[in-house]
Order: sequence, then structure tokens, then C-alpha cells
Amino acid sequence: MQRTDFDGILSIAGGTYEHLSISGVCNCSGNLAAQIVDIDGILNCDKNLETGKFDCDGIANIKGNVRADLIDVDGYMNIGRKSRSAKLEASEIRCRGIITCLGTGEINADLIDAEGYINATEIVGEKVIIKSQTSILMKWLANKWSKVDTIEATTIELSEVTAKVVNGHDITVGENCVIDKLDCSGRLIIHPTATIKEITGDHIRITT
Amino acid sequence: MIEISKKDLLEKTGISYGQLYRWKRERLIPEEWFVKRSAVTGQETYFPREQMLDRIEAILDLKEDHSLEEIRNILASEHSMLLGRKRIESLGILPNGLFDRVAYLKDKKEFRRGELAFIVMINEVAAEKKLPDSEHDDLLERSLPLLEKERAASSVVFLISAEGRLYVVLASEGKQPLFDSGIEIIRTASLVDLVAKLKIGRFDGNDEEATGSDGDGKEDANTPKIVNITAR
Repeated sequence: MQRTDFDGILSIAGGTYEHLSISGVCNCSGNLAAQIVDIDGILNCDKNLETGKFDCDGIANIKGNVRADLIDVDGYMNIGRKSRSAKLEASEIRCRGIITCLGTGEINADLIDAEGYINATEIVGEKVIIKSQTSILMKWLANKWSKVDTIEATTIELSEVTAKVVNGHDITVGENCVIDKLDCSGRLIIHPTATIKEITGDHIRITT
Repeated sequence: MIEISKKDLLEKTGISYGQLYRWKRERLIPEEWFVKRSAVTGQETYFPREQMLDRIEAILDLKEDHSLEEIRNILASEHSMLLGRKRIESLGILPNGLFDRVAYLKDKKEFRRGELAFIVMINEVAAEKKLPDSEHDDLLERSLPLLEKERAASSVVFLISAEGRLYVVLASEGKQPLFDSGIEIIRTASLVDLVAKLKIGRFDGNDEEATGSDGDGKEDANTPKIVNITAR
């Protein structure tokens, strides 16, 4: 697989690559496609990104849609703009850094496993795990904690998450979660420090 | 148009949130079908009921033997595959003499599966409504030319009733037409779902023959050959 390294500061019009590695600053004005994207520097992309594996240890600002098999974020990844809908779609998303996807977009993945922070309008999928760690720096960077308007998935496990709506089959609400409305159709576990304003659905409550 | 809420859809079909969203991500379910609306409980998602139920049934049937990518290709392409007239007659899914009664069909030698599925649907509704042959044939005569003008697999067929007469409206997928209250919607389906039903035997077709090589039929050069879809 041919590897293309961007080390300095440069602007590109987009294109297709096999293995794209960005250590410097890359400003991309068009659509970007690559089998692998490694970011240790900064990527600013005005359009869409399609890739197999997306590994972000630096900063990625993508204004369009992102479609990938695997997304691994240890740095910071921002998708869309407040005024524009953009989607983040992947089979698997792992986040130990920060992901923001605001506006009217959504994050859709079979598995979303976040130990870092996610600020998004909507997160949907098969299994959503958001267990934000309590590092002071990360909390400050991510505006204190993970915030999501709507989370919908078959299995949901949360801690340190603020959400307006959480709908799922099996739901575990962990420490310090604040949820306005929760609908559960399977097993429901709630930590004593969590706050949920309204609970609906035909579920079995399990006490720990 | 009759809609179904996401919660009711999941209950009725037994699919999970994960399946629903995976199929959306894999483009098996059009994004336009996810209609978000404000509700007392917050924001709710609704779907066009019949289209969504048909689509999920088709996916559930196909997924036993096909990958999601294959299903996407099947849904996207098979409506345009051609079947010869003799083959269709041998399937016995249309009433005897229909080809001779409807002028539009009289000299037509080949049919796209989408056209065939459409004719079968009209035939089914005509039987349900006990429509006289003359009205059934007239409806086909008026509506079949529409399928020549709009060939997209995602086109949506609305079979409507107004002042006691049936009409067909064919719309591009996405923004769907609105009908006034004097019009009754009898049936709604995308061509792709009609074909999926036809292929999986919902209209009592014989899949073995339908998916085999056409004796006198040809396949579109641009469409992939569809292999073995197991009948239920």
C-alpha cells in the first residue's frame, strides 16, 4: 500500500489515496478518500471523507460526511457545522479523545465505545458505550462532560453523560448521568448518582 | 399517507434499533423515510407505514441468503431485469387473456420485473375490489406508460381512489405528494419493494422459474445477473 505523508503546511483539492498520513497541517477543499487515514497533525476538510480506517491522534475538522469502517480517535475530531447536517457513519467507533458532531447530523455505528467525550445531536447504533473518564483537562476541553441530545441503540451503557432522550433495549445508566427521558424495552440498570426525569417502556429494572 | 412511529415499527417487526440503523447506514432504507417530527414526548421519528413494512419484510427475507451489500444491489437493480412474455405466461401469476385485453400489453414482448410486479399489484387490488375487467384493463392502459417515463427503482407507486375510480400516481422517492382528503390511498409501494415481494413469492409466483434463465427473455446489459433468491 502506497503511503503519502503530509508533513508541512499544505492545501489540497481532495483526491484518493491508499494510506494518507498527516503530521503537519493539511487543508483539503474537496472530497477525500483513502484506505487508511492517520492524523498526528491537523486535517481541515471542507467536504466528505470516506475511508477504511481513520486514526486520529491529532485534530480533524471535517465539514462534510464521514464514512469509515473503523474510527479511532485519541485526539479531537469535529464533524459538520452547527448550521449544516453532517453524518459520521462507521462499523466501529472508538474514542478516547473528543468527538463533536453538532447541527442536525448523527453518529451511526454498530459499536460506539467511548472512554473520552462525545458531544453530538444524535448517536444511534447497535451498542453505544460512553463512559467518560474524569480527567480535569479532558472535562475542561470537552465542555465538562459528554452531551448528547438523543441516544438510540439496542444496548446502551453510559456514565458521566448528559442526554435529553435515551431509547434502547438494554440500558445501563451509570454514575452522574443526567437524562431527561429514557425509554427501555429490556433490562434497565440505574446508578444511584444518576438523575432521570422520566422513564417509560416495558422493562425489567435490575438493582445493583 | 399513513405513518408508523419508530417504536411501533420495532414492536411490530421485531427488529432492533441496531438493525434499523445498520440498514439505514447500508442504504437499504432511504434516509428520506426517517421523518422527524415534534411530539409531546419530544422529537419522534415516523416512517411511511406500508413502504417501511414492505421494505423490512423484504430485507428480512433476503438477509438469510445474502449479505447486506448483495441485498442493496438486489434492491437497486433487479427491477430493471427483463422477463419474456412466454415466461411470464408460464408463471401463471396474471389472469388468462390479460395480454390480449390491454392494448399496451398486446405487442409487448419483454417486461421489466418492476413492470410485472406493478401489473401483479394492480391485479391483486382489482381482485380485492372486485373491479370489472373493463376498469382493471383501463387502469393498466392508463398507468403502464408512466413506468416508461419513470424507471427508477426507488419510484413510489400510489394507487388512489377518487369518486369511485382508481388512479395511479408515480412519484420519485424522497418528497412524496400530498393528497387532499377526497382521495383515498389504496396502496403505496416502491417499485423495488414490489419486485422484492414478487421474487419472494408473495404473489404466488414460482421463484425457481422467475429467477432462472429466461427462455425468450433477455437481461439488461447494464444490470448484474441476480442469482437464486429462495422462495419462502
